[in-house]
Amino acid sequence: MTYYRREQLGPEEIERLTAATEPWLSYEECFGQIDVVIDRLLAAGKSLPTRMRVHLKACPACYEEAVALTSLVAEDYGLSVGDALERLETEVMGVPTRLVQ
Amino acid sequence: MSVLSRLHKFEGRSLFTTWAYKFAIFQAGAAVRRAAWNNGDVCLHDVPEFSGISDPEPESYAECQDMSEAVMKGLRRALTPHQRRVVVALLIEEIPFNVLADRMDTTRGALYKTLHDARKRLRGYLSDEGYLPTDGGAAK
Repeated sequence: MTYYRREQLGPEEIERLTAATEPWLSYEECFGQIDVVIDRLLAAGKSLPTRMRVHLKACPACYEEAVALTSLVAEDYGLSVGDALERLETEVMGVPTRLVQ
Repeated sequence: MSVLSRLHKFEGRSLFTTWAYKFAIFQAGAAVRRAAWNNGDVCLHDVPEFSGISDPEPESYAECQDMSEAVMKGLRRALTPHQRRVVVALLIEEIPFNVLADRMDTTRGALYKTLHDARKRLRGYLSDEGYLPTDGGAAK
């Protein structure tokens, strides 16, 4: 085993490590559904399914891709990128925190 | 090309552009991450080791240190070596999923499942030790 030295885990690391990932949604299911839920969120303000919200909160790679997808399609729904991202972030994180200035 | 080969799978449940963009984002994102890590070493470390704090913030530091030490113990005691390597690589060293999947000759989906199982074990350990409520709520 290789060990490396550091000081301590920060609050963000602890949150990532202890994130709840249930109810379970696999990566494959997330990829299969992400276009549908983003469209519904932007078109009608429909909330994300709980499993999708939990997955996006716990999986930085999928969340990053959801942010990119939301940015790309925002105009199709007459929304600014900022407004669309605020909608996504509020759904996933509970409040808009870092995407919207 | 990725989209063209999947056209027959489009079910019309979303706009065609949204459906097509997701493949483009996946492919582009994976390519960018691979390029960024192309020459970088991906060393699979085990659990970090404390070396002490030089400039602590008294109150929040004490709480964070307590939880941090509990989490580190949990990583060592509750997880398998494979789970530890995956968790440390993805969540502490922040190695991208697809880069780690390439280096470990596995899939992004399999890594996410490993991460899910590891988090569940870690949360169970922390609950047993009194650091997390048993219903899976926030840390104390």
